[in-house]
Amino acid sequence: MPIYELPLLLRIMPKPEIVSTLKRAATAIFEKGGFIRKIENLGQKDLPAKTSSHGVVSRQAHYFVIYFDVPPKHISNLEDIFNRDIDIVRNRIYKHDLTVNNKPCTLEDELKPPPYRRDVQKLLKITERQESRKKKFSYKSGLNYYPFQK
Amino acid sequence: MFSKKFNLIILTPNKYEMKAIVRYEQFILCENMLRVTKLIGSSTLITGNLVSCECAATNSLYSQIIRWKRKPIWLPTAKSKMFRVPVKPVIPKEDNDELQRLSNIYRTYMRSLRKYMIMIGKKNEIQFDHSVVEAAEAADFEKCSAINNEWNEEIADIRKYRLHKERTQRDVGNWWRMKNYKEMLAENQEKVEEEVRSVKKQAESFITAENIDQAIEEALTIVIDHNAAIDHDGNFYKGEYSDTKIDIKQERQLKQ
Repeated sequence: MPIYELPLLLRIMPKPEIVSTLKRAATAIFEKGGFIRKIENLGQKDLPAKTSSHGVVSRQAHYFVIYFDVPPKHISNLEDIFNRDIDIVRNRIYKHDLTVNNKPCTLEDELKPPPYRRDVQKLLKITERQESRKKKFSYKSGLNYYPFQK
Repeated sequence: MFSKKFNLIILTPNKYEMKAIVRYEQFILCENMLRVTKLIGSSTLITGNLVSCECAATNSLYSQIIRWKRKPIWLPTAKSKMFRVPVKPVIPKEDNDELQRLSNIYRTYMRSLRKYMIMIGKKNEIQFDHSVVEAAEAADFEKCSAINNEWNEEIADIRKYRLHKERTQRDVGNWWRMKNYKEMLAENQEKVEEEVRSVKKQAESFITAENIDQAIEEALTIVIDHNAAIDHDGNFYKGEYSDTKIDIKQERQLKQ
């Protein structure tokens, strides 16, 4: 089972209701044969924009992130369940990439000029490959430059 | 009238020849142009058989003069020639003697030559007899075959050596490949086992239906902040940096 990340934005409400909403979400996951690895509480925060869901406008929300495992075929069903929940303002399910955090990264590497950075070099290589695929017009003059004014 | 036949075929004339040809051509051209004009209206037998009318053209260097058609073979003897008695040639006695002498010499030479040729033919008959030729061919074939066999043996030796070398190389390669494959399998197995071990270890902390209440309680008590920053000196700041946080409402009010 792959690991998924579920950011949940709950509307502002008292603690018992938050607990019950979280439990509802967790139970939905358990019912699909999954299990939860971790629940993170990021606290109450301002929303980046005035957000409307289920006919209610929210400006703030309780931010939670749930890391869970579930068979991939149930993901769309879970999304549907969370979208129907009126206490959830926003939710989205992402696949948790384990490889991202394993990459070594130092400040020294980050402060290098762009052409020396590994990620930039990677991008340049991709561009080079794309460019090489394109057909370049050949004048067939035997010269390596265009002899006339362009 | 036009019984003369001229052929002018000089493909690469030199300087003097060219001059002569030009002069000759000029003469012929004038003469023939007149003749062509005269003849074209006269008879179909004549005009229908003009080989080439290039003589009337300006470039007459490689031209041929008009060639007239002779009497077709199926026409009878011309009336004017019907009763013509050919004049018997009168050869003087001296000339006749001389011709006789030359003829005798010629015949003698030819006879001897013929006999000589026949003699050579007889010799060849013996020399190039079928059995002799066959024997010679067989001997030659044997000789060639022996040389060929020798070469084949040489090449066979080379091939044998090459195949042996290739086989050994292949065996060594296969051995390495098998070894690497086994190592890879073992490594993979090790990786899988490691993963299983780590997952088993993690499984202890998994949240299930039994401990969900407790987990939610814990999560609500602890607020996690993933905000982090780093400066040029490499100092690491965790949490939200509130000093630089711009209060948008306040700023707007100040502007107003």
